Parts: sequence; C-alpha cells; structure tokens
Amino acid sequence: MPAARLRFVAGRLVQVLPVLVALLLIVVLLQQLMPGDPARVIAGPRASAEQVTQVRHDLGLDQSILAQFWKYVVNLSGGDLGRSNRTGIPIATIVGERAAVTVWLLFGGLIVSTLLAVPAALVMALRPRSPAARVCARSLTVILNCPPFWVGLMLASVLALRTGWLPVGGFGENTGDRLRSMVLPSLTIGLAAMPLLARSGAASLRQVLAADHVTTARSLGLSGWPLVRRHLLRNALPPAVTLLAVQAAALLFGAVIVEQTFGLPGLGAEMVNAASQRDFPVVQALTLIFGAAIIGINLLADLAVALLDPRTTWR
Amino acid sequence: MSAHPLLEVDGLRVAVRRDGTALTVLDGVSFAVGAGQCLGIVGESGCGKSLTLRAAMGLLPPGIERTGGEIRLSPRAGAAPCAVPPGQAAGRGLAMVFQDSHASLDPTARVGAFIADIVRRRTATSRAAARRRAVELLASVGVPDPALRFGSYPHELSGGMRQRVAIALALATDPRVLLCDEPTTALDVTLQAEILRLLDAARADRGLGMVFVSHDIAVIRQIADVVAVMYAGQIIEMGPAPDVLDRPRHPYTRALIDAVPTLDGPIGRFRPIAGSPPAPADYTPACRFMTRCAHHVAACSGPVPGVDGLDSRHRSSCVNTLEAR
Amino acid sequence: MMRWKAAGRVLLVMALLATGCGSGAPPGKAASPDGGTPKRGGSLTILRASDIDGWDPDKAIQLATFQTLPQVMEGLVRYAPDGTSIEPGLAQSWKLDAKAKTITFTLRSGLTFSDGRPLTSQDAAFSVELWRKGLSLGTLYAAITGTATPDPRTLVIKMSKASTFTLTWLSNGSSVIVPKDFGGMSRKDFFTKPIGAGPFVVASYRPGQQLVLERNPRYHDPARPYLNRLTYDVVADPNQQLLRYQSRQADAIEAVPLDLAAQIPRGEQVIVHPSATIHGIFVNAARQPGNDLHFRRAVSLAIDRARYIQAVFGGLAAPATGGLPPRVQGSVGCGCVYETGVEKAKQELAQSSYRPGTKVELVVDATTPFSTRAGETAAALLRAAGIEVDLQKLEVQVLVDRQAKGAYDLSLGEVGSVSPTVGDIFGLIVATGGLYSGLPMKTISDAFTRLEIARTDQERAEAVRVAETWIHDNLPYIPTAFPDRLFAVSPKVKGLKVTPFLSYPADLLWAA
Repeated sequence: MPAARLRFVAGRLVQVLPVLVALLLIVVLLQQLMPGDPARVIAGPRASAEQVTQVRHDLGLDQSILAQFWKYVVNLSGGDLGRSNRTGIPIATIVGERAAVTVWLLFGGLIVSTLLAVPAALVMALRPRSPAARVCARSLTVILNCPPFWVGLMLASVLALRTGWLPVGGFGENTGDRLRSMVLPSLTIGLAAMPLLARSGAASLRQVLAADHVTTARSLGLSGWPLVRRHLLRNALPPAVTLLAVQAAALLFGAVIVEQTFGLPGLGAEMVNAASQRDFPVVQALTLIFGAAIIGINLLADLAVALLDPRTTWR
Repeated sequence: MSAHPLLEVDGLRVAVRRDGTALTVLDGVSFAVGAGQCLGIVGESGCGKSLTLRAAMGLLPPGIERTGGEIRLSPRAGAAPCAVPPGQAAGRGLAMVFQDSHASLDPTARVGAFIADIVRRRTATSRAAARRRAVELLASVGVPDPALRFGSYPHELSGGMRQRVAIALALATDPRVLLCDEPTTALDVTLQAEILRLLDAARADRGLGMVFVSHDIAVIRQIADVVAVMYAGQIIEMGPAPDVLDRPRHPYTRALIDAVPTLDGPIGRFRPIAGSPPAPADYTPACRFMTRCAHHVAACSGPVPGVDGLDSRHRSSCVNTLEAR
Repeated sequence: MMRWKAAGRVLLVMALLATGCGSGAPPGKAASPDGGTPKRGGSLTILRASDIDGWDPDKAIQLATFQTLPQVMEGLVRYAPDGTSIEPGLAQSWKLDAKAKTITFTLRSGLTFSDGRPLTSQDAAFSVELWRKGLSLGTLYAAITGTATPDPRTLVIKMSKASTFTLTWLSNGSSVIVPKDFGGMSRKDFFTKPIGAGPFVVASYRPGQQLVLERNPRYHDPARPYLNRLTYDVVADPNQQLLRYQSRQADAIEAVPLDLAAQIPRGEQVIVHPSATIHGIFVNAARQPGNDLHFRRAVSLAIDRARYIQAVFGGLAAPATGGLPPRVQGSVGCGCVYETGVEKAKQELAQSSYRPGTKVELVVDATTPFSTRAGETAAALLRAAGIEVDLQKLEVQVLVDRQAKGAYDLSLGEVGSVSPTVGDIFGLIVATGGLYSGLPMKTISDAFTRLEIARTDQERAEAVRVAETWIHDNLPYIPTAFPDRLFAVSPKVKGLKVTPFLSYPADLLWAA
C-alpha cells in the first residue's frame, strides 16, 4: 500500500514541473511587457543614457527574452536563484530571512480561521434555526465585507496601541516576541479567510447530514456529538480540505496586505517591493516559490482527501 | 402470538411543509405487529409506505413532519405498548434495514468496528467483548470469514454482503421490531431468496416483530403473515396474507395482483393498471382509486376512510367490495 | 599681485565658511529643546519609509542614503548641523589653491578605521578615485583630475579648474572614505558590511528591514557619538509608522507624509520649513502643446501658488520664488517674480498655439494620497484657465518611464538638493534635459561652469542668477512650491538638527 501511495505522490510531483515552467515563462513575459526600466531604477535619475545602457548590459537585460529565460532556467536547475538586481544580495538569502515570517503568518492564519470556522460551521449546519446560527450567519457577512487592511488597522489601534499588551507591528527578535507579534496579524488574516471556510464547511456538513448513511446511523440510535464525530466529520472533511487548499492561494496574497499593514518583513512585502522596483530576478524567484507553495498545498490537500476516503484507488 | 402487539401505529399523519403550507401525504395509517409476526406493506411507488416506516422511526427528512397519530412500542417482553415520542424509538427497540446498502453504510467506517460500536452503545461491554459480539453477528447473518471481514470497508464488499452487514447492524441494537424498507429490491433473485431466508430466521429465532415494505407482491407472498395494501397515503386493504393475496376485496389489490406476470400464467398478457395515482395535492376524502377503477359507483365519491389496521380481520376500504357483488 | 593675494585670502575664508543665503525662513527648529547636556549612552529607534540604496556610494539616490552613509564612513569634511557651512571631518584642515587648482587636505593624526587599521592619505586617494568613476554621481566629481599623497596625512586633490563647488560637494553623503582596495575584499563584499571611520559601525543590517548602528569606539572624537545604539526600522505603511511611533516602539519618524502631520502632536513635530526641494509641474517641451512658451507661461500663471499650497500641503510649504532649491549655498533666486492670475493665464493661452478643447495629459504618481491630491488640485486650476487637462494616475515606475522617454505632456514631481550646495541640482537638471522638458541646457551648463569656480558669494550669486533667470523666462518646468518636511520626534530624542537638504548628523543625537 505505501508503495502505491508513494507512486501517487511522485506522479503528482512530475505533473507539477510543467506548471511551474509555464508560470515562469508567463512571469518573464509579463515583466518584459511591463513599462518601467529596471536599469533606470538602479542607475538613478542622474545617470546618462549611456550609463543606463551600461547597467542594462551588466544585468544581462539587453539579451533576447529567450536567452534570458534559458539562462535563468539553467541557473535554477543548478540551485541558483540569482541575485537581486537592486541590492546584489543572493535571493536565496533574502528568501531565507523572510520566509519564516510569511510561514508563521500563514500558519497563524490557518489556526485562527480553523478555530473560528469549525464551530461556526457546526452550529450553522446542526442547529440551523437556533439564535446562535443566525448570529453566526450575520457575523460572517459582516466579516466578509471588512477589508483586511482596515481590520488590521483597527485591531492594531485598539488591541495593541491602547492596551500595550501586544506590539503594533514588526516581527520581533526572540521567539516570545515573535509569537506575540503574530497574534494580531494572524487574527486579521484568519478573519479574512474564515467566512468562506465556515460557509463551505456548513454546506458540506449539511450535505453529509442529508446523506443516506447518516439516516442509517440515526436509525441505529446514534445522535449528537458521537454521530458527528464518528460519521459526519470524516465524510465532511474532504470538500472542506479542498476548499482550504483553494483558500491557500487567497491566504498567500492576503498575506501581502497584512504584511504591509503590520510592517512584517515577509515574502509578500518583498514581492510588492520587488515588483514596484522592477527587480525581475526577485519577482521571478518569489513567483516560483509562491507557485510551488500553492501547488504543494494543493497536493497535500489531495493527499489528505485521498487518505480520508477509504474508497480511493491509488493510481 | 403473545397477548400484546409489540408495535402499534395509530392514526399516523404525515405532511410535507413547504412555504408555510402543509400538504398531507399520509392519511391516518394504523397497524399493529406482534412478536414473531411479519406485516408486509405493499403498494406502488409514491403511496407512502417508506414514509410510514420512517415516520415510525422518527427519521423523516427535513421539510416532512408527523402531524398526527401515535407510535406505541412494547418496552419489555409481555408489556403493553406505550407511546414513544418521535425519534426515541430508533435504536431502542426499533431498527431498520434500508434498500440501498451502497449508500446507506458510512464509507469511512470499517464494518466490524461500526457493529462493535453499536453493541457498546447498547450494553456497556469492553472493547474486546464488543468485538467478539460483532464477529458473532457477522457470522449469524451469513458473512463468510467474519473475523477477516471485520476490518473491511463497505466498498470492499459485494451488494449482498453489504445488506447482510446492514442487517447485522440492525440486530446489534437488539430490537423488538425490525422495519425493512425494500431490502431485497436491489439484489438479484438468488441473493434475494437468501436475504429473505435470513430475515425470516432472525424473526423466528429472536421473536422479532417485522414490518416488510415492498412493491413486489411475490416477495410479500413469501415472507408476510399479514398484508397491508397502501394506496395514495392510505391503507386500503389489510388482513391475513392468504386472504388478501388470494381473495382480495379491493379492486386495486386485485389489479395489483393481476398486473404481475407469473411463470405459469398465460404468455404475452400484460395487464397494467391504467392511469396513475393522484398527487398528494389532489388527495380527497373520496376514494382515491376512483378514477382508475372499473367498478366505481356513486358512493365512491363520498367520504371513504382508510382501513383501521389495528383490527386484525380482513377488511378493505372499498364501498363496493368485490364480495358484495 | 596684491589683488590676487587678497582674493586668495578671501577665497580661503570663503572656502572655509561656505555660507548660504536662504530665501526666507529660519532653519528647522528643533521641537525638543536641546536644553541640557547631552547624555552618553542609550539607544534610539528611527523609522523610515524605505531603506538606504545600499552602502555603495555610487548607488545613492535617496536622501536616507546620503544621510546614513557618512555615519559609518565619514568623509574628509562634514556639513555643519544647520547645513550652511562645512566643517572638519577626517581632515582637520584644508586649503584651496586657486592658481594650482588643488585642494590640500591635512588628515587628523592617529586616525584609524573602526577595525583598528590605520587610515592614511592612501585610503583617501583610493576613495577619491572611487567617487570619480561612479556611474550615477561621477559627473559631480568631474572637476577632479587626480590625487597625490605626499605623506600619510596629506591628500592633494588635483582639479581641472579651481572648483569651490567640489569642495562643498565633498561634504555630502556620497563622498565617503573607504579602506584602500577595500581592505582586500571585493567591492561587492565590502559594501555588504562596510568598515569606515565614522561615528558608528554597522552592528547588523537586514536590507529592507532594519539597520542597527553601534558606537564606533575608535571614532576620532572620543566624546561622540552620544548614543550607544541607533536602530533604523524600515516601515513602508504610513499607518503602521504612526502606530509604532504612538506606541513608542519607535522614537522618531523621518519624513512623515504631510497627510499624517495632523496626527503628530505639535510639540513632537520638527518641521524643516521649507526644505531644499522644488515641487513643480514638469512640461514636455519637445512636443505640442508644451513646446510653445506661451502655453508654458499660461500653465505657470494658472497655478495660484498660495491656494495650491493650502489645498495640497495644508500650508506646509512656501510658494516657489525660483526654479532652484532654496536655503543651500547659492540659493539666491533671480529676483524675478512668478506671477499668477487666471485672466493673464487665459490671455497667454490665447496667444499660444494651443487649440481650446485639446486634451492635455497630466500624469501623476498614483500611490500616495498626497500626489493624487496635488494632481487633482493642479488639474482644477489649469482647467479654470481653459486648459483641458486629463489627469492620469500612474504607478511610479511607469511614470518615470514615461518621463524619461518623453511620452507625456505634463507631470508633477519634486527634486531636491542632497548637499549644502545648490550646484548638485544643476547636474540633475542637465542630466534629465531640464527635468524631462527636452529644452536645450546650454545656459544651465554654462551657469554651472561659472558656479563651479566662483570664488566669492557674489560670483556664485551671479552664476545662479543667470540660471534662475533662464528658468524663469523659458520655463523648462514650472516651480510651484518649496515643500516642508516633517519629522516626528518623541521627547526622548534630543539633538536632532535637520538641514534644509534633509540630512542630520546622527552622532549629535542623544536619548533623554
């Protein structure tokens, strides 16, 4: 059995490669089409046209798109992510420094959104006409319509500035500080992701509730939490897990906004900086990383769904 | 047959609630089942027979609710049946076997563990004891290699095997009455015969009451002691099986029996019943079979109540019964 | 003979005290009173919206870079805290010889880099060559032809002309002294964690995030810097900056966006009024309608500068009285007036080749509320004069691209001095073809040539006046305002003195 599973995973990984290559190609093309000259950004406004040309040559930007793309791919396959055009720092270093922030943020957001969404989904699906369910549904609509940067700002102003319990932003030096600095950003991003998750979780639960096998379980005298735990959750999880994976993409780009709002030195903020400064190598590298992350998350979700459902044939 | 019936359904009314209005679909259904006795309910699709069972169990789908009548269940051997609130009976005296075993078993639950879980719910035993009991139950319903099959998932079993598991599950709740909702319809003939035999044996061995719903008269003929015929939300004929099946009093029952081709009947003669049953929205107090009946008279347009099945004699609701002619 | 000697003496005095004539207001007053003796020790955190451009002086574009580099790698001379003169840095004295066209610097004795390695004229000479060969800023050192190091404490800079401008320019933030041959490292590696002889050393540097400076124990002035540690946090979002400042996670903010000025208590504001910056409308004079002087005049007349300043800056600016930045050496203006008046604007417009109803595109930066507000205000004023303005908000790089390629009609922008002399702006104006106007720059270049070798204030003023008059008469761009710059400074911060060109010596800061 494990061998089949490994083959399953390996097969999926092989499928991933063309997607990443296509992604890279699109990003390279887009950057070429974008107005704005990276050589000019680096050379500065005082540099003469010749000097800008020199910079462009040094960066290798005067070669054809195909030549640049090929060189990039060759470097990439050797493990070289390249260097930032602006600072000259190896991109691997930049990623290494900043990835932790974004990963912490995403995990925090995931935990918060799950902790909030699961009870809400349970209440809305199992006690649909109760006052609690009505409150849940209304709150979700409100939360869905609040822009994350506003939520972040409000949380920082009220919970951090006024009380002093939590930092208003930044990442912190030691683990304790870092955990505290992640509270509000995780809350912000978790709240942003939660409504969709709660609604889809509720829908999935409702669907399972209406399933025949639940009727059978009921006919055997099962009800309440034992029924939910043994026969509902494991059946309702796959659609929710799939949606979670889809949400991962949204979470990742929500991370950009939240990182800006709280001044977190993460990959999202770096992506925005690099794009606005036309730092192509950084944009390309981060696109690949984000793409790989999203693909990886989806793969994990597929794996989780396959593991959850015993009917899966591992092909 | 013991003195008291095990299950009494008295005047059951069920309605569909949609947009604030209630549409009655079951109209005063009554019957009783005694220990070791099998009541067969027969009727065409949509007559409300499955709904009757579900209403008795308290498993009505959302939007459908019981609007009247009482369910009475005998709590112990020899005790008189007493009223049961809706849904209380499921798993505690009443158990059900469903038609489609493919969808009716949790695909993520191993069958052995499921049965053991139900056993432990019923009686507080150890895990090991419950496991042993589950294996016993699997063996008793004819599952070969029960110790091995303990760890199987439903999708790893054949249709017939799954149905056996469903029966084992129902029996694990130690029921007084077993409700069967077309449990053999999805099975081939040989398997059908085996399952029927199995159910019959369970009934005899444990002194269970049984209600067996089917649209297939042949199956009813094999298994039922008492037969109730349902049409358009009512019981229109009821009585001991030989009486109802060989000497039907209601034109509908007659037509139903005639409609089934038999191996030893004339070849090439198909006798369907013309027309179709009325929709619940069109239910009237008058005889609902009137428009399809060749024998309707003026009195059929007046109020024609269903049969009170609590009375065990052979009766039909037809005002112009065949016998009278 | 006597006249030359006298002139030489005057020159020396002039060279020693490069005075500036401002066009008005007193230097930026420190809100936190400097009362009290500076305390040694402590640390401060300052926020900035973007990081320095790196430690390599040739990459210096932003003001923050010019401010920070010399804190680690001090130069031969430094600007005085009020920005009006130059004072000794690593050189304790200097002499400009007009005839020989040299400046001779005498380095202090016993100088070492922060790692203990001795600092000699060899290192200084190496650094001068570095500046000259710079890609972006090299032209500003164009007068330098070579160096000589007769002894370890003497550096002679040889020039093609007796450029007093060069002397003042050497006090700016890109003229930093580094070890000869980068101490054996490659240029790239050296500038990852540079070693200099400035008041601070780099304790840690996370590019784009945080820079931590610590006291250089080997700095030539044992009393300074006062601070043990100075941290620069890079925070781009203005709201986050404000929150950190209000919660005292940071002690000061450099360059607070004018929109947030109202949220800083008055007592915590340090306003540089005005800064050595020009805010104006750039015009593409290489094509219609910008190529018509009447049209350009109409644009200038249409902008009621007082109203504009109130609407866009909330009053935190001074009306532009010249085309060059104020309050640095040489800022004399032209004595001419930039008139306004809607009726006069309409008259000029009528005389121009502009056909009424033709759309004129005004491109502005889309990313800040300030720039979009400025665009809208300017557009409204221009429309009132009869110019059909189509306001386009663009992303920064797209905007820069359009300007550089001359693919625009009108645009808004700001340029400023980065040193104590108005001369550095000439280079920018020439390099960009008159701030992207496309007009011939001969007059400006000639004026700069005169400015470079001006020996007296009067000569300097004449050269600048030529340039200013030309700008006023030909309007390669329309100066509208000299904006203020605002620093938010908590009571803990003492000793902050910001020059008009928005630099401040960090070794004078101390924590209360």
